Amino acid sequence: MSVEDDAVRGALKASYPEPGGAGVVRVVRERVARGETGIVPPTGGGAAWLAWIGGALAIGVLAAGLGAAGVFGHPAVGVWESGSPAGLVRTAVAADCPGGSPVTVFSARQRVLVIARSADAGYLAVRDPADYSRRVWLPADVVTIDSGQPELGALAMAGCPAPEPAAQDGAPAATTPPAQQPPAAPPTPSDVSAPSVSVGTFSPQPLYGTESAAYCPTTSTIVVTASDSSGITSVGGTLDLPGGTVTLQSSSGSGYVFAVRTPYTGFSDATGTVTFTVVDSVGNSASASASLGVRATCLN
Amino acid sequence: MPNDVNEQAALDLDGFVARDYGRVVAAVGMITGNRQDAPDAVQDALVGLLARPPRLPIDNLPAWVTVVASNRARDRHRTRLAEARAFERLGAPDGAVEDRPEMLDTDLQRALDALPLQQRRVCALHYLADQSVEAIAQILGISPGSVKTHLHRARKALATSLKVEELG
Repeated sequence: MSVEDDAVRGALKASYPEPGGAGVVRVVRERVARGETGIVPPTGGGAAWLAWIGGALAIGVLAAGLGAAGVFGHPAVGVWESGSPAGLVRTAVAADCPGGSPVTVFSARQRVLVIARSADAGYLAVRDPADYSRRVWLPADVVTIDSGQPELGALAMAGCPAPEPAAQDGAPAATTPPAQQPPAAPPTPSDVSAPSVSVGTFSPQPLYGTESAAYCPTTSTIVVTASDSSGITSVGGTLDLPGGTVTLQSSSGSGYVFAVRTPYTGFSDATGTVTFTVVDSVGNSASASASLGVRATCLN
Repeated sequence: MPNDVNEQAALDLDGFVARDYGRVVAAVGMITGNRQDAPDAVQDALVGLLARPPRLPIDNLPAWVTVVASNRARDRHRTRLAEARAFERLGAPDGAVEDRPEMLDTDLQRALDALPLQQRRVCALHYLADQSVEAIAQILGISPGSVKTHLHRARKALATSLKVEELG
């Protein structure tokens, strides 16, 4: 353990002393017995403030109405967000919009906070754990909201590009059934067009070697988006480095998520090029590339 | 009256309070910069856990409670700020929002305030909640490499404020 580590730990422990837990068990059990659900009650004092709160609400409603009418242009992002704690039942790719472009990957059993739903309830917006200022979208069938938490109907509706109006307080829970998905287009024998393919960027970068990687990432992930009218049959990638070529395996059956992990041998500091090739069901192919910096030694 | 079924399914409340409560409250206080609200936020998380047990099991309860409670405390703080701004716009008298975060007037506190939220979160989970790098990566949904990077940068910044120098 380093001197820095010991000093920081000691200073933090001294600045944030651990309180005792006397009475906590009793208080928690009493609150549960009273039917509390752990939701933070509104702050504020006695009845003297009700007029102020009422005034604030009235102004808020008026402002919301004007905002919805376009008087203020694009609505501002809310000051704070609440939602429903949930977990993922399997690994899934999150998109920037319902059915949009992949932006990140969530692992099975990862905990998320669901903050909105799409109009057809087919997608759920969750707060990105890596960036709380950003919301990303997951298919609703991969998310299980915790028991007793606000269900789908209680969530505000949103979407892209223009957010839809949020559900009004007191209004009956929306029960819009999921929109029927259009049937997949059958393979077209005359399909002569190449599939469309785009790649994101490797994150994080650069990728480091093995033994000295105490504070340096040894895994980097990239999302590949591919589509074709007749369907995609394969997506593969190769990483070309001065020391040789590494074949990348997709880490997911869908979403085309690729991960590069060290160790692999024979590379020195360099920037490699990864070429992804997509093939559709009639043999048309297309490629796209992305760069990945690699470092043999972690200097941190 | 205790809800025995929920409690058995969700957590051993007595065991958690005996083993983990103190360090979790400390970690929440550091993440939010508000030690005053930290115990309430942790208790809210425990009440929610008992009243509405999650369908999926929670592998690491101290880390889970730390993250959930700190998010809740931050939400509460933001709500208060929004209320304060609303009162101010409406001409409410001074002192409408009395509950101010408890702050430490030290170099360390200033260094903590300057840390990005994710670094503060990683630091609190590691140094105060005694979580491993792998456990932090799991609960925050980031890679162990990212955790190490955040930890390294936060430690450097905090050590500078403490005027610590590495030997050798």
